[in-house]
Amino acid sequence: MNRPIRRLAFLLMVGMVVLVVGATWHQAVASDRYRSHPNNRRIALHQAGKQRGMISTVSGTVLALSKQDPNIPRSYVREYPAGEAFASVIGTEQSPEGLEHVYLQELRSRRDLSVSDLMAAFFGEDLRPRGLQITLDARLQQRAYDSLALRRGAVAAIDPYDGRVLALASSPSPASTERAASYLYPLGSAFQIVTAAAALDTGAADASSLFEDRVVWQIPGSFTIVNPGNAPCGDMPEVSLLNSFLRSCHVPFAELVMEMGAEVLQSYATSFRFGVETEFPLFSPTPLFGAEGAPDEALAAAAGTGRLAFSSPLHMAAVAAAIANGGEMVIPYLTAGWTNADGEALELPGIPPGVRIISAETASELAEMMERVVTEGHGREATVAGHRVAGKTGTGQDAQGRHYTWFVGFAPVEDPTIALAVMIEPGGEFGESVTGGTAAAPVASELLSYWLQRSRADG
Amino acid sequence: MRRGAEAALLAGAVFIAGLGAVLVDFGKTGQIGWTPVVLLLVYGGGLTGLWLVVRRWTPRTSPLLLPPTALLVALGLVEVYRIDSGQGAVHLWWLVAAMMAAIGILLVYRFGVGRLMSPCYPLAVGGWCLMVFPFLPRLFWDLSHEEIGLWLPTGGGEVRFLIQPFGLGLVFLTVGLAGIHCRWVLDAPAPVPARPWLRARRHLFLVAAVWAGTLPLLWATGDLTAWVTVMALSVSVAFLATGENRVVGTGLALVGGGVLLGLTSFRAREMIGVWLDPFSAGDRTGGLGESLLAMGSGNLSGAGLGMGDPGLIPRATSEGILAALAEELGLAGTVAVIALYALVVAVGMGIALGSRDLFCKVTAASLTALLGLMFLAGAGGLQRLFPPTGMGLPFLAQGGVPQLTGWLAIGLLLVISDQERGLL
Repeated sequence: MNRPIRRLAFLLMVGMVVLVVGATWHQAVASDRYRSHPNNRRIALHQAGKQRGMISTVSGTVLALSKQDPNIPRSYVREYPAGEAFASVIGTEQSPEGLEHVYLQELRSRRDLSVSDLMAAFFGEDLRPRGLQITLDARLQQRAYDSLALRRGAVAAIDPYDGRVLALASSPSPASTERAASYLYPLGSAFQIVTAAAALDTGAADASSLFEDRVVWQIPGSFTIVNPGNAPCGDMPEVSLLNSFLRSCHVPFAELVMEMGAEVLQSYATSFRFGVETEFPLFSPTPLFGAEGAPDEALAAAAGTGRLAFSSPLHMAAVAAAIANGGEMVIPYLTAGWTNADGEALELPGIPPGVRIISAETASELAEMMERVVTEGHGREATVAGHRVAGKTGTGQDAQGRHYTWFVGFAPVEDPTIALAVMIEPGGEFGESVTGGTAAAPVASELLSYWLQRSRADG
Repeated sequence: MRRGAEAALLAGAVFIAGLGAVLVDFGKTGQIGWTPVVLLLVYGGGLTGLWLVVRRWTPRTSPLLLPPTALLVALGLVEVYRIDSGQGAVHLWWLVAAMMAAIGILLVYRFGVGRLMSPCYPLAVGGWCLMVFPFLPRLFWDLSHEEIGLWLPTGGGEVRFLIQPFGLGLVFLTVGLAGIHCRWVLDAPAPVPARPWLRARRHLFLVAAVWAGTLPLLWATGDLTAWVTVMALSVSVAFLATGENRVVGTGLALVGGGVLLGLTSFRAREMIGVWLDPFSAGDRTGGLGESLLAMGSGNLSGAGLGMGDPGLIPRATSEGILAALAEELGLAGTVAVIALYALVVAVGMGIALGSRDLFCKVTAASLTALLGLMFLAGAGGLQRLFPPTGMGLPFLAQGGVPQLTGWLAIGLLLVISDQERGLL
C-alpha cells in the first residue's frame, strides 16, 4: 500500500522544486524589473532623506539638488531652486510623474549596502549619485511659463535642426499637470500644415490652386463641413489654397483631399509621426490622425476641420520644425546627458538623425505660406517687429464643443532657430469666441520676440 | 540520545526566534526591549512542554518532525511580530494554545490512533460545515469590502477582526475522509467484485460528494486555488486508501468541471482578473501585485529583518506572510522556508511509509499532503503560478486557525509515529 504514498510524496516534492524555481525567477531573475516597477513605492519611500543626483540644464542652471539637512546628520533634503516654471517637467521626489520619477533609479545614490552594490564598489565603480543634464533653456522656459500667465495651456519649443527641447511649459504649475508632452488635444486647422505639405509635395496642388468657395459642403454620403464663422472664404466664387490656409477655411481643404486621395494624406500624416510611437522620457502619448477604418470622406473632413486629429504641443513643435529645417522630421529629446558626481560628462545619448519626409522645395513653399499667415492671415498677432515669423493657427473642438486654440510656427524664416507650438485650453478670458489667432498667437509673439532679441543680443 | 539532538535543534529554533525579535526591535527602533525575552520564555516554554510530554509519554515518536516545524513557526512568529507587534503578542498566545492542542492529541490518542476512525462521519461532516457554512450567506447577500476570499469579518464596532475557519475545517474533513475511506476498504468483502469499475465505486461517490459539497464554497468565495486544494486533498485521500488510479482520473475530471462551473461566479472571475493582471487599478482583492513587488525587492539577500516595507503588502501577516519574509530575508530566506516545508513533508511521508496500520498510514500521508498542498497553493498563488488564494499558511501565518491547522496535523503525525514505531 506504499505506492500511492510514494507517488504523492514525489508530486509534492516536484511542487516544492517548482516553488524554488519560481522564487528564483521572482527574486533573482526578474528582481530588477520589480524593483524599478512604476507601482513599487519602495524606491520613493527609501529615497526620502537620501542624497540624489542633481538635475540641471546644459548651461548650468540647477533645477533639483539634494542638500544636507541641517537638523539631521547624514540626511538630505531635496530642493527645487528653479521654481514652479519647471515643476511640471521635474516633478518631485514623491510625484508619480516628472523626471524625478522617471529617473528615480538612475538618480539615486547607490551606496545602500546591498550586496550587488558592494560588489560594484569592490570593482571600483562610482556609487555616488549621477547628475542629469537636460536640454531646456532655463530663461526661455521661465518666459514661456510667465507668458501663459496662469491660463490653462502649454508651450513646447524645440531646436528645429536637432530636436532638442528648449522649453516645455505647462500652466498652471502643479507637478501633476504636465501637458505639453503628456496630453493630446484636438488640432483644428493646425492640422492643415500636414494637408498642405501633402498637396504641395505630391504636386496635387500648389499655393495658387483654386477651389470652389462654398460655405457649407455636404460631402457625398458623409459629413457636412461648414467654414468657421459660417462665411465664405473670399469674395470670389473660387478661392486659392493659400487664402484658405491663411484664413483656416475648412471646405477647400476637404475638397483638396477628395481630389488628392485620402490615402495620400494618411501616408503623409504617418511620416509626420501621427500614429507613430515616439520615445520621450516624460509620458507622451502617440499623436492620432483618422480612425480605424475611417472612410475617405471622413479623412477629407478631418483634413479640413481638424477633427479626428489630436496631438501634443511637443509633437506639433516637431511638425513646425520639419517645415523650418527644410523637410526633415526630427525627434524631440530632453535628456542631454549624464554626469558623475564631480560634474564630468559620462555618456551622451545618441541623437537620432532627422528623417526627410518632404522635399526642400515643398518645405520652403510651405514656409512662405506660413509666413503669410503671420503677415496677412489669422496669425497676425504672432508678429515680431523686425523679424520674419512663420506659423499656423488652429482651433480644435472636443466632444463637448470646447475650443482648444493653437499657434504652431517657427522663426526667423530665413534661418530658423526655434520651432514652437502654443496651445491654450478653453475656459479663459476669451470665452468661447476664442481662436488660435486671438489666444495662442500673442503668447507665441511674446516668446519669439524674447528669443529673437536674445539671439540678436548674443550675436 | 536522539531526543537530546532533537532538544538541541528545538533550542536552536527558539534561539533564532529570540535573535529575530532582537533584530526586529533594533531594526525598527534602534533599541532592544523586553519583548525578545518574553518571546523566548513563552515560545521556549511551549516547546519545552511539548518536548517533555513527548519524552515522557510518547517516547518513540520521530525526532525529525518537531525541529523543522519549530523553525518554521519561529520564522513566522518573528515576521508577524515585525509587521505588527500587537498582533505578534496575540499570535504568540494562539501559538501556545495550538501547541497545547497538539499535546492534548498526544495524550488522548497515545493509546491508539485507531480510535479516531470511529467518529469519522461526524468529523467529515463537521469539517465540511466549518469550511462551507460560514460563507453560505455570501451566496445571497452582497459583499462588503472586507468580505472577500476566505475571510470572515467578526465582531463589531472597534473590535472587528477577521477569522478563517477554513483550515481547521480542512483538518477535520481530511481525518474524517481518511477514516471513511479506510473503513470502506477494510469492510470490503474479501473477494473483490469481478467487474473492476465496481471496486472503487463507493470511494468515487465520496469524492463526488466532497466535490458537490464544496462547490458552494467556490461560488461564495471565488477562491479557485483553495477549492482545487480541497479537491486535490480529497482525491489524494481516496487514492491513498484505495490505490486505484481511476480515483485520480475521475478526480481530475471533476476538478476540471468544477473550475469551469466556478468561473460562472463573478468573484472567481475577479480573482482570475487579478491573476492575469496583478497591477491593474481597482484591484479589490489587493495582495498579489504588492506581494510580487515585495518578493522582487527582496532580491537574493533581502532587505534585512525590520528593514523592508511589509506595510505595503495588504494582509501581510496572513496570506502575504511569505512575501514579507521574502522581502526581508531574500531568496535565501524563501528557499529556507520551502526547504523546511519540504522537510516536514518528507518526514511526514516517511512516517506514513513506516506505518503498518492502514488508517494510520492513510491519515499520516493525508495530513502531510494537507500541509504540503496548503503551502504549495499559498506560495504558488503568491508567485502567480495559480490565481491568488486567501488560505493562511499553516505555521507561518498570523492567527489561531493556521496555527491550529498545523499543530493538530503535527500532533497526529507525532502520535502516529509513536504508535507505529516509525522507521524514521
